[in-house]
Amino acid sequence: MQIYQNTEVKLLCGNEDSIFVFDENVTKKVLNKIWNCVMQWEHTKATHKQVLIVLLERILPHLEKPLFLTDFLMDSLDVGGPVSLLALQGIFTMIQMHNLDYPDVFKKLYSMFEPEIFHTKYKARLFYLSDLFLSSTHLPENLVAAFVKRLARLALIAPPEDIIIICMFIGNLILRHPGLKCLLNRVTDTIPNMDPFIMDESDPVKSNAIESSLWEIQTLQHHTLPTVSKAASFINNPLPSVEWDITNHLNNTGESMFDKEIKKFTKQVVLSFEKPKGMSLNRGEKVLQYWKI
Amino acid sequence: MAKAKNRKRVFSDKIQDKNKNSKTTMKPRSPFEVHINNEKMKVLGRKIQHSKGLPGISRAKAIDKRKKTLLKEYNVRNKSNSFTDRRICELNQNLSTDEKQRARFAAVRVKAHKKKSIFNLGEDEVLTHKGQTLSEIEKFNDLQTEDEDCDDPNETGKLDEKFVGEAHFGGGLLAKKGEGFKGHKDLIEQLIADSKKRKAEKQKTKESVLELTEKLNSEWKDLIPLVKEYKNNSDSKMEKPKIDDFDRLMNELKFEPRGTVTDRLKSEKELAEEEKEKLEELERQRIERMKGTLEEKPNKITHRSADDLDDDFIYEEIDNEKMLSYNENGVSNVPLESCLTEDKIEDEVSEMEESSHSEVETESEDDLSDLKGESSSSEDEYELEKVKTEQTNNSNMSDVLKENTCSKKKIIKTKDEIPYTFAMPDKYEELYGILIKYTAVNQGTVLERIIQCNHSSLAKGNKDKLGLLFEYSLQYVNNLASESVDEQSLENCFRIFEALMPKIFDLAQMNPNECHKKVVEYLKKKFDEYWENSKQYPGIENLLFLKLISILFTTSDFRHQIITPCLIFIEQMLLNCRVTSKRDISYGLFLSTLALEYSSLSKRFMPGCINYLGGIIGMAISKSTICALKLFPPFKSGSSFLVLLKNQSSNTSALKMEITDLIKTEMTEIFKVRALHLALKLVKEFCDNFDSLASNVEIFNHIQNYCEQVPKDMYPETVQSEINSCLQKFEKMKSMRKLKYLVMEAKKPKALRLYEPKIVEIYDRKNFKIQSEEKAARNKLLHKLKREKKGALREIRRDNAFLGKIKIKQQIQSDLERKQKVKKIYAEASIQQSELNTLDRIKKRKIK
Repeated sequence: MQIYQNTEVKLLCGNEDSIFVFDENVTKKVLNKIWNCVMQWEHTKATHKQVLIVLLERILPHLEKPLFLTDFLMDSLDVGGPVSLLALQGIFTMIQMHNLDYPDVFKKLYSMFEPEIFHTKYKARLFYLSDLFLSSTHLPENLVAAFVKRLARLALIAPPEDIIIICMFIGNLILRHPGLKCLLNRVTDTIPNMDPFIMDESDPVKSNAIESSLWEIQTLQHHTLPTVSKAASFINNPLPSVEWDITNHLNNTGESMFDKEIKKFTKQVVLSFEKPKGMSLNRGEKVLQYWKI
Repeated sequence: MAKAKNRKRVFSDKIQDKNKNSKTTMKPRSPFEVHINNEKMKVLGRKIQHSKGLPGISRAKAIDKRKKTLLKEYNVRNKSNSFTDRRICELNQNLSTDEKQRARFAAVRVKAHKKKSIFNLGEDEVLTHKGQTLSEIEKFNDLQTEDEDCDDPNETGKLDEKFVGEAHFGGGLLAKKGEGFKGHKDLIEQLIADSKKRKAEKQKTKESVLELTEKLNSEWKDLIPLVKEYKNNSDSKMEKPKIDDFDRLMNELKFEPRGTVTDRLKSEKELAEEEKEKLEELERQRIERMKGTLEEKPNKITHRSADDLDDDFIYEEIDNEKMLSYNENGVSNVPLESCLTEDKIEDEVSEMEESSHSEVETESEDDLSDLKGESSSSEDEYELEKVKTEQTNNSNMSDVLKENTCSKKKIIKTKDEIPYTFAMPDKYEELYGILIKYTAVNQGTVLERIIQCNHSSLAKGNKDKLGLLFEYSLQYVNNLASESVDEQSLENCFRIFEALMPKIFDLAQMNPNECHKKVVEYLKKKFDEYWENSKQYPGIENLLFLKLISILFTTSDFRHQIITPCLIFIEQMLLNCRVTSKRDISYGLFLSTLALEYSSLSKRFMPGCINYLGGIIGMAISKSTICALKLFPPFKSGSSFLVLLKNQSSNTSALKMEITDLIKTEMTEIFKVRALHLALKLVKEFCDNFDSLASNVEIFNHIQNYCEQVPKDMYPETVQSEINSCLQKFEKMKSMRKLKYLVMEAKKPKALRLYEPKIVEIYDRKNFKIQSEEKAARNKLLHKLKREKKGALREIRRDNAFLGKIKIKQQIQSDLERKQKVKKIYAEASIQQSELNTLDRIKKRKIK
């Protein structure tokens, strides 16, 4: 932030005596020059983030040749964490507005789906952005299949609120790419004992996802929470014609799930019917089995 | 059969007789009077109401009716009042006086029963005889009336016969003018004097009689006591010997209520069978609930017995293992630590702390707020919080210690004499006061006695009170757990919990609804407390509470209003809370054990728990050997709390986790071994549970990775074998797994649309509209209204015609009368004229 302020002070308010006249063209020219320089600097993680934020929010519309930013954004994409997410957002606008073609962007996006994302603040944004990125129906099927499988794998360790989002996301991807229905419906006689999908492969195209099937979602039908289990059971029924709207679920937290469940009104009051011996259950007592109390 | 036939015949005979009777009574009608309505077409089974009509007769009837009603009204139309005879039966001349009286009496009775007079108490109709009520007469105390009755007719105060004969019928004044004539005035005076004299005489005799009777009465009263005494004496003499022991006994036996017939007592075998059936039914319901709506397959029901067998198998297995664990249980080599450090009471303090750390994120569409913050993964926020809590800890620690010592002082050492009755505590403090005095085991009995003394069958309000008692005992357990800051009190707390638990279970069974409500409230409160500081494990009381819920409710339901939130609670804690100390590790392990317990029957999958166990195993790997090892959050990749520093392979101490680990902060080598051991055991159990899941290999993939890297040689033999068996299990899982490709259910072919004939069940020539009940009723009423209107209009028209006829008749009548009168007058006038003329003529002749 400081760097930005300094340059601004020098250029716009140089002399106190002279009256400031705003000339858009001049300012624009200067701005472009400055930002070309700023790109070249070495940034710390914090400043890097700030630069990206300012760039995306303020500067980008005023730049003459925003495509020059591509390298900078690509470099930022490799940094990881929130910086790469910001860069991803920048790249998305570049692709959208300025016709940028950058083939590796999906590989980068693919590499961002790691187990850690569930404990970051920006996971909702990541889901939102990846939904946008993958909204094109012209993407190769094996690429999208890789995303689907990776998301499904992540769902095996994700918090419940995210599993619901992932399930919807996967459903939407399959709806957009009807070719992916083979993940849900493959009629063969072979019964493998290993999943053909390679989780550790960094290139989504080589991950062999299209040969696989969505067993993870099937597994998630046995999740402890009924809402998750319901969300995962979409694969049992014929797919709907309209996509699921995930934006409503992006802000779900554990608390909101808890509130929803506890407010669910049921007339049925179900108590257990076997009288305990002391504090041990008659069946399935585990605490006393493993703890010395 | 014969009987039925007989009856039939009798019935038909009756009808025939009836027909005959009606035929005999009916006059033969002239065929000209009958009008026959011709049927257009014959419909089978339809009843025709008006096939024949008698127009002449019905018209005559109608006219007659009008004459009785309308004509009468017409005649009195200009009169403002009218005379109606309301006497009962007076107009009917056929009735005798007796019948008339009866009718009048009946009318009075009817009036007494009318709505207005039902409430007139005491005004029962009073029978009278000559103006006096019968009850008065029956007393026979009024002598005057009696006398009057038997008086001679000449003494009734009326004028005597002779006088009447003379005065009224003796020819009047003219006849008696001769001898001793008195004037009219004298006569009257004499009459008055006579009657006065007679009255005075009568009065006098009456008074004397009254006096005499009164005297007699008073004398009689004097005699009464004598008579009574005599009577009493004789009675007592007679009765005393009568009351005999035997008689009394006999009477008692006679009037004793006899025993009522009861159901046969059930034999023990039958009772056991009933109980078994009940349990089986409940078990079946539980399994249904467990399956939820997810696995609705029609064939499942037939396999129920197989399911039952399966459950029994588990049941036995657990029992065996428990036996084993008891054997292990004997020795504990862990040195006692009694130092209090800040970490132990950290959780309590964090609860007291009201400052909320939750960030309110107001995210608009694209302001990048989630990325702008200093730390993206919110790792560092925690450090700040910790510093804060530690600061507050120091100030609060002394208070907590003080409280603790105070509560200890209150505890009176074991007294085996527990009173048998207890009053129901009205406040929580009362219950606390009652219970805290006793040892852990005795507290159970005390609570049981409180419940027994206030059982819901004893008094009306007891059920609510027991609901309150449930709440208080929850609070009691909660407070005990949250107050226990050292090992001893914690152990004591768990012992008390163990003793109270069956009683709390009973309480819940007595008042399920109330208990359900209370637990929901409590759970909500606990979760909110935790969520204020979601990165830190909350107090130990939550563990107890979750354990309590697992006992009170069936944990296997697909969706349960209490269990499902509990599972969210557990998973959120396991996913969000930082693991930084020994307490956190043991807390998390306890939660994992609970999670296993919750899902032991339903065998469902909780990702957060598996993730946590993986993290625990991962923490046991020294980070120097593997740089690439990644731990998933909430664990930090570099954390190595459980890495052994010394070789423990020769250590043979018990490997069961101890409850005191939840409090102690000092990290010992043996604890590390224990934690790893438990984590491995739990992983194995989960492995067994998820055997049938399709991607079980993927679920345990990272755990397998960690297990391979754990330095086995450092651990005791049991742990080593545990690790090996885990690894074997994973390998077996991998090789045995058969992944069937998912196949979507084939769509059902859609049937062609066919136009089927519209089949109406009953064809009745009419089209019944399909409409709602209310609308049908309304339409029916409207139809009726229309018909009634039509009928009324017709009646009015006929009334008018009738009146018109009457008017014209009267007009004609009056015209005729007038004509006659005119004629008469004319006739008289002509006669007069003719007489006058003749007189005139005579005069003229005379003059001539």
